[in-house]
Parts: sequence; C-alpha cells; structure tokens
Amino acid sequence: MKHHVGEHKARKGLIRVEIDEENGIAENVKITGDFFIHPEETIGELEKELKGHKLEELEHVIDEFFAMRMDIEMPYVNVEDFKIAIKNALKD
Amino acid sequence: MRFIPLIVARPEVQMAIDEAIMRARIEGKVPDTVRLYAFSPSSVTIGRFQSVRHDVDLDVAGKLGIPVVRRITGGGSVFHDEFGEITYSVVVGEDYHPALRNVEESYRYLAGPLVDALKELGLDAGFSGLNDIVANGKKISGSAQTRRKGVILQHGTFMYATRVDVLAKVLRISKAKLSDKGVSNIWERVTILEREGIKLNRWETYELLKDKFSAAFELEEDQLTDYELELAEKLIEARYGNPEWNEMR
Repeated sequence: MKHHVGEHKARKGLIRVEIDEENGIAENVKITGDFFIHPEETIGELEKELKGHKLEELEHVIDEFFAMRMDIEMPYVNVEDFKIAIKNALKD
Repeated sequence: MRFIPLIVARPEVQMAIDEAIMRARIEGKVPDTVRLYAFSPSSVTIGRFQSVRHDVDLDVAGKLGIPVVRRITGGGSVFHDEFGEITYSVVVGEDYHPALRNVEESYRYLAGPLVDALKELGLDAGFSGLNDIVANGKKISGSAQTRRKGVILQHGTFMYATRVDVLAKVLRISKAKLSDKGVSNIWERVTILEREGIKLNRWETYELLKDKFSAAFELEEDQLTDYELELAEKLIEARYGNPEWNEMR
C-alpha cells in the first residue's frame, strides 16, 4: 500500500488529498483542509465516489461528481482546485 | 433578535449549544439569535474537514490541557484563549436580510459589528478575503458559517489578549498558507487588541461587542430554552464530546 499526500491552496483554504494506493487503485481517499463547502456532507460523499477507482480516473470522477450536483456551494474554491490537489498527491 | 448573555464553558458545550440553537431555529421553536461566549479552559476548535493530526500539535495541546473539538462549520483551526478572546455566534434565517443570500456578503453582514467595535477603538479595521477581519493590516478575527434548510449559523473569534505564542505552538499552520499570505510567521499575520495598544479585559470586550451587535440587530436579552439545552446535551454525547466526531479526520 502506497500513501500519497498532496496539498493545494485554493483562493480560500488549503485542500489536502490523501490516497492509499494498491496496484494503481485508490483504495481509500481522504480530503481534509480548511476550506468551506455547503452542504458539508458533500466531502464524505465525494470521498466515497473516488474510492475504488484507478488513479488516472480520479480527476474525471471529480468532474462528473460536481457536474451532477447543483446544490453545492464552495465560496472561493472551484472544481479545478480539487483536481490540482489530486494531481499534487499523485506526484508524491 | 434574541440575545443570550455570556456563557463560559468547555468547547464541547459551546459547539453543542450553537448547533442546538440552529436545529431549534430550523424547527421554528426559537427566534433568530445572537450570543457571545468564552471558552474555559482555553481550547482549540478545528474546522469540519480538518485533519487533527496535520493541523493541531496534539502533544502540545495535551501537555497544556487544551481540549480539541471539531466544529460543524468548515474553515480553519482556532485557539480560544480563556482570557484572551470572545466568540460570537449568530443563528439567523436567510430571509432576515437580502445580504444573507450571498455567502460572501453574509459573512460581512453578520460579522459587521466586530468591525464597528474595532473602528470605535480607533483601529483601521475591515474585512479581508472571505471571512477574516483585519486591524492595522493583521488578522484579529475569523468567522465560519454553515447553512441548513434556510438557516445560517455563523460563529467567529475576536482576539483581545490571546497569547499568540501559545496559539503558534498548538496550531500547525501550514507553510503553504503563510507563504500564500506573503508572510513567514504567524506574528506577521495575526494581531490582538493588546498588541495594537488597546488594553481591554473580558468584560470590557464583552460589553463593547454586545453594544455593537445590539445596534446592528436590535437584540432582546433572553435565555436558552429547555428544548435547546436538551438538544445540546444530546449533541455533546453524540458529537462534540465524542472522539469519534472530534478525531474523524
């Protein structure tokens, strides 16, 4: 199991992504940081969505997740910020 | 709006009361509410999504007897010095004022009385970014909010004599965050009233904030209902007093 950690500073807040990788699969993904997202339950749902995907699919999963959700508000943070945090984690 | 006078209590109690007021307000059982409170002992609250391990020095917190509680709101970690800061919270329906529909405007509207207080003290004060208030260019207050079913809970800190050296020791502030703000250490970024040459004690700070919130929102002093206190007790058990919640990330 390899543990990847990546951080990215959005306009408001740091986004930290931790990925437990086994043979190219994200077995577990944890998103932490001091950003805001409403409703707050969104982050747990996104983590669940990312789990079990190949590493190279993760950015696409993020795009799809947010494209389907019209109820989410992220002040000073955008979808790209989450993707950059993932990219930074996978560089690690 | 209802005003709940100063409550001094442990962090799990304060966080539970804020959520209890919000829940009761959503159910239509209580009016819009402002309250002021202080933490005892000195405490750390962390944002809903923060990592306890990454964002707090738990060894230092343990040694100094500083409890760490996770908030319902997002945002960053806060050191609530027992004799150095007052926390405010507002629970209000989104339809109270048009400014509340927009997240950015609502922060400024609800934390506006803090800026009024700083200006009355003669400081050059204003908002910075989404949720910070600066005095003479340095952060003196930060706020966080959550929204549920048309009701906003916003709470935040106001530092009059916080021990910034303890704050710097117990919070792990990432280098990325400081360098992003163009500063290399916490002293350049954060200030307190005392450092700006204004010596107020807890009661003087409390009275000043109470005045400014009263002027902005027409407050009527009252107390928490039995319903809210019962809810708060349940929330202490299920959430804020429970390691499962506090250490979940």
